[in-house]
Parts: sequence; structure tokens; C-alpha cells
Amino acid sequence: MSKIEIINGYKEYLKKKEKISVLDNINVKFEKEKLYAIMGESGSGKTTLLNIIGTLDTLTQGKLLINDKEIINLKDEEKAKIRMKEIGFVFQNFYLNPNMTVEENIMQPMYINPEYNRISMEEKTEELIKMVGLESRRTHYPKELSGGEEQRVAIARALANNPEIILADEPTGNLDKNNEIKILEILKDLSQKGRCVIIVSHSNKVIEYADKVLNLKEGKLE
Amino acid sequence: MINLQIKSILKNKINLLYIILFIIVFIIINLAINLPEIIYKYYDSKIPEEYKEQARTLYIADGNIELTNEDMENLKKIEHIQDVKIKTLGMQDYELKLTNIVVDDWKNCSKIQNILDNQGILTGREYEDDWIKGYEKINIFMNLVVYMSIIIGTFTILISYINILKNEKENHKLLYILGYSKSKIRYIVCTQILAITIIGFFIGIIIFDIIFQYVIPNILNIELEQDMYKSIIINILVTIIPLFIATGKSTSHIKDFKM
Repeated sequence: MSKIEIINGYKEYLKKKEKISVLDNINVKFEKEKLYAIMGESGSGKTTLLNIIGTLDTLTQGKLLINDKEIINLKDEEKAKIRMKEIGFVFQNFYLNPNMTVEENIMQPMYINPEYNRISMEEKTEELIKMVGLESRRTHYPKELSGGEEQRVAIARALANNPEIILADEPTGNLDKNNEIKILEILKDLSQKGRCVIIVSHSNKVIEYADKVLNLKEGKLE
Repeated sequence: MINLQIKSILKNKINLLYIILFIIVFIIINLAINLPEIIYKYYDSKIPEEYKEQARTLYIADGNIELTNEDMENLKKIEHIQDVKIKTLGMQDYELKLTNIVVDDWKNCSKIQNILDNQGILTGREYEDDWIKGYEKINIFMNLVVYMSIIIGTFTILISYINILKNEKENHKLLYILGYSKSKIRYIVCTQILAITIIGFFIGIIIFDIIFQYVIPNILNIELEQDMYKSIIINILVTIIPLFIATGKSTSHIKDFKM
């Protein structure tokens, strides 16, 4: 069973009455226990593809299936539930709440997961903080962390509700080489432990860690 | 969840400035609501005690008008009219009968005069000094000041809410990505805004109360009584109306969020 599947996917935008095609006839499957790298030039449609997989955007035509469930006709609340349970996001700019500590940032997604109570939230947060090696920084605010540390917090937050899919948009874009390697190693480890990890990146370093590389050119997968 | 979100919004230093702004707005709004009371009591304190009774008495200026008992009873039914009586003045060769209309308060005399004027009954005031004339003039502008203060206060609160939401836009979009539904986000938005407003309101009300109960009475040497019912209604309205307007569109920016 594919974790994610796009069938005959098209995405168009209307700009000043002109149709702009962003994704053209996308047919792709993403499996568990694999790390995928989506490469391409700026404007090739990589981030749009990631937004669609992450239910933040919708296909103009075609189907998106997550765990064999068709997403396109789902209501907003149902899509939100899928994002909460199935998908973890990692961004280039980390997107941490600057007014919350490391612990609080990691806990944020857990508050809407009915499977958690106060005790299990704290236990899970402890586990994630240890996993990313930030025990000594748990009460610090994002402005007190380095870029690499912030991204590790973001990864921990992405894992808060045990999602099986991790979507990372240029996760190492703002990091130096050492931190880039650390982050990629964490993401690789996650894929080896059963998750489907999809990374959009310009960096060739990502290719070294990817099980499969997809090239997007002018909205088409090569 | 809510505690964390409220803590997050209060940690933002810009929102502390909004709290200070709300303190000032609520002080001004509540002073405006009670301005008629302050003005009235101040002017009332200037009318000599011995003339207070006369100050609230009108007489019918047209000597040809003779009111029957029924007419007098009908007049008493008009709001603010306490009594209608015939006063006999003994002159040198004859008796002069005057119909006096006693109003509950001198500040309502103008209102009663207008009502009776519309009924064709011209009246005069038994006593009218410069203070009473001054009050009549200021009364016209006072209501304008009151309404303008409330309208400007409401707009200030609305614009503040919109700016607070703008500042929190990225955090709200993050919540959407993390799987918070739009209804949950709207709930968080309302709670965050109310938290800031309530803090500003309570501190503002305490300061207003000190000004109203102690500062103004000491400066003007008067005793004041707050119109609590009016205050509560207006304070709720100036908060709720902007809240509805601002939060009604609070999640509209989220639907376009992408990475």
C-alpha cells in the first residue's frame, strides 16, 4: 500500500485571467520507509507539490490519496485531522513560535490530539527532546537557539503526533554544512524507522541520503 | 492549550502596548459615559441652596391660559413633572394667580419647556442664573463629546484588534499547518484578544474608579454617582462589536497559506 499517491495530477492558477500551469500530469507514489528528494529549479513546482501532499493546497484535476483515502473532497475539518495525525512539517525558516519555549513548541500539536493527556504529553515531549539532543535547551526560547537547534526543535515538533509522513521544505536551506548533515541524518533515520520522508531541496547533499530522487521540470516529473 | 496560547500572546511586547492603549481607551470611554453626571453635579454645586427649589420651578407665561383640574392632572403625568399648583400673589389692588410647574430637577426644565411649548403652553423659569444658562449651552456639546468618545474608542479597539491579529497571522497559519481546524483557531483568536482586552479593561476601570470617586470629587468639591447600568452596556458593546468584526475575518488569511 502506497503511503501517498497522486494520479493524473494537474495544478493551475489564474493570474489576471491567464491560466498558469504549475503541475502537469503528475503520477507518483510515495512509500513508507523511504526518503524522497524532490529536486528542481525555482518555479518548477516543487513547493506546490509539497503543499498539495500536505493538504494545504488542492489539485485542479486528478487525485491525491493518503493511505488509500481520497483527499480532494474532504472538508476542512477532516483535512485538519489528517494534518494533525498523519503529516509532520519541517520548514526552511523553522516557523517556531518565538513566544514559546522549546518544550512548549514541541507540545503545541499534542494539545489537539485526544490521544494525549497531560502526563503522556510530558513523557512524549521528554522523549522527543532527548531524540534531538536538546535536553539542556528545553526552557530556552527560539531566539536563544542556533539555526541547527531551531531546526531540531522543528523536527521534534513535526513528530509530536507520531505522523507517518514527514514533509520538509528546504529544511537545510538556512543551515551551515555541519548542521545540514545533522538534520539530514535525523531525517534519514526517521525514514529508516518506518516513515515516508519527502524533502524538497536545492542542495545536492540531499541526494546522498535519498532512496529516490524526483526531478521536477516546468511542472513535470522526469 | 488556551493557557499556552494566551501566554504566547502576552509574551509579545507589542501586545503589552495594546494593553496600555486599552487601559487609556476604557478610562476615556467611562469618563465620557459619566461626563453628563460630572458636568451636572458641578453646575448644581454652583446654584445657591436657597434657590434650588425655584430653579426647578416653571410658571405659565400666558396669563390667559387657565388650566382645569383635569389639565393639571394630565400635566403631572408627563415625565419629570412632580407637581402642578396655583400660586396666588397678593398685589396692591388685586390677586395674581400663577400656575407653577414643579420639575424633579432643574436640569430637566428645558426639556419640559420644549414639551409644553409644543402644546402651545409658553413657560418661564422662576429662577435662572448664569450657571444654569451656562449648563444649557454646554449640554449641547456635551452629548456630542460623549458620542464621539465612544465612537472613537470603539474604532480604536477595532483597529487594535485587527493589528493584533495581523501580528499573530504567522502563528495562526502555523496552527493551521499543525492540524488545528479553523474553528479551533477562531476560538483561540477570540480568547487571545479577550485576554488582552480584559486585562486592559480591569486596570482601566480601577484607574477610572479612582479618578471618578476621589480625584474629580476632591477637585470640584462635588459628590458623584456612577450610572452603572449604562456603563456596563456600553463597555460590553465597545468590546463585542469590534470583536465580531475583527474575528469574523480572522481565519480568512489562513485558507491561502502554503509553504
